[in-house]
Amino acid sequence: MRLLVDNDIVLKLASFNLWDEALACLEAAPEDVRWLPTARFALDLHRGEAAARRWGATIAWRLAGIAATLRVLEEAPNDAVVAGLINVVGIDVGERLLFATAAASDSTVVATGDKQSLLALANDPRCAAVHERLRGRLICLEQIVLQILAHNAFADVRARVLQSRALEIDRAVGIAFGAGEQADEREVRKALLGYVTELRSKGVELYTFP
Amino acid sequence: MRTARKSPIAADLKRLRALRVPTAYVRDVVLPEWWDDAAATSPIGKAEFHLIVAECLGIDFASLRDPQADLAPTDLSGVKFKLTGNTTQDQVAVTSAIAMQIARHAEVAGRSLPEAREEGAATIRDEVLSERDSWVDFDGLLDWCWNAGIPVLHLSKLPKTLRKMHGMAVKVAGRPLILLCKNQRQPAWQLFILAHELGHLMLGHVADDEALFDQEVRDGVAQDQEELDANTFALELLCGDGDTRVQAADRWPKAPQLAEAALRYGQRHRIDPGHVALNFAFSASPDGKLYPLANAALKILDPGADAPAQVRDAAVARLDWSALPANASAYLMRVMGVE
Repeated sequence: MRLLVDNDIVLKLASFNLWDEALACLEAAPEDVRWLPTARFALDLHRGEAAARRWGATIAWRLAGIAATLRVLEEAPNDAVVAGLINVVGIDVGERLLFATAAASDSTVVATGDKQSLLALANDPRCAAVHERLRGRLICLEQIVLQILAHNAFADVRARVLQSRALEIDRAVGIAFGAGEQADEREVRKALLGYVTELRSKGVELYTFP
Repeated sequence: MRTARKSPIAADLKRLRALRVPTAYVRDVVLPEWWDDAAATSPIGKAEFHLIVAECLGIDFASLRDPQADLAPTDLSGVKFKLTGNTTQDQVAVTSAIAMQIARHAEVAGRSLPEAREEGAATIRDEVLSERDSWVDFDGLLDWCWNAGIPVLHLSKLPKTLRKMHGMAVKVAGRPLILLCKNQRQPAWQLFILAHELGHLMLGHVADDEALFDQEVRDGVAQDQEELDANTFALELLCGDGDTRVQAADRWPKAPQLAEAALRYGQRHRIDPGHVALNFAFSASPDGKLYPLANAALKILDPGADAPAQVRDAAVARLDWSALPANASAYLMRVMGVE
């Protein structure tokens, strides 16, 4: 399986210090993971000091470590497919390229930290063909955190999330762990599952974990 | 000897310059702050550059992807062009394409606004006046538009090399929007343009997914019926009577006298004094010779005015930025001149 990731999910998982756990849950080796060539620029990783100022030294350091292992997508997707996604304003330009690339290959999965883009993909008529091609090959951050919780000790995951500024980094995860040290595994899972269920109910054809 | 490496987007920038879009504009406004040309060395990085340009400037993606093709704005068949002098549609096509893209972004960020209302000029005037003791001023009308589900934006940062419009009335996915572009800080100027564009929307001159591009909004200049009707609508909204012409005695006043007289007249008739000064200047000299005098009076009436900033502040506060991807929000902010 080839996994395409957007900047957003890399940043969020790096912030929570859960990147390695995420790859393990997805059964993806680092060499299976691809991102866009613009990602390291968008995250300021080409300017180390700027990245440290923007994200904080620890997260910038983690991001640099992740970036060193990730492979960059090279080939452009089919222009006609990309052109079909023009002016779908709810989806970031980079995500559109990821979706268009993944749509061309049955063995490629896209993981994104941007639920709005998934909703736009599922509901904008201009995206219908691409969304249909990606049926069952879309993963959101909440699904990944749920999988991490299924394979790791809750207290450890909670401690990592709480050490980050979770609510600033991702609203949904921040809310799920909103009770802080008192956050209870059942409630956290319920909250995260609620976001996943909501996406599915609004037509997003998400990946189903075995 | 060191040789400078050629940017992978150099040829694209050259093609954009041929469309009168300067490279500095592409770098300062169109491309995200983090952009580095090195990102475009790979095919998919180049595709991302083309996609950004296509979406920000409204340039046809296929023409961007074909290095041999002449760049062309996207389909503008839904835009009605109201041009002045010897301006041709080709000369404003890129401006119009950029504005349409901005409207599309604003429509998405404006989906949490109330459903748009349609009202006559008299009703709008009554509603604005019910909220204030004085007259229909720019702030009041701006507020009314947003409350009525009509976003208003000022495009402060368009390429200086392009011919621009005073205003544009647009409908995207059923949402009416007004784009102002005149680089004029005095609210009285923007007030008339806003009322005029609102007239186009309320009078049904703009169908869904269409736009009306007003290169110049001026009362009384010989125009087509839609322009005349929009002017009448604006005068009725601002003055209570679509035929209002402010006349003066046989001699032109000095600017301080005009300001004082406009204030008195405005208070008496519940008309924005700035509009009174402009209305007088136009009525006395339709060819615009008195506008410098009116402008001097406007500066006395409202010395610290910054109408584009008023529009900008309202848009920043009212649009739902979480509805847009971060790069799209940042672009919209840059075009509006938000520092």
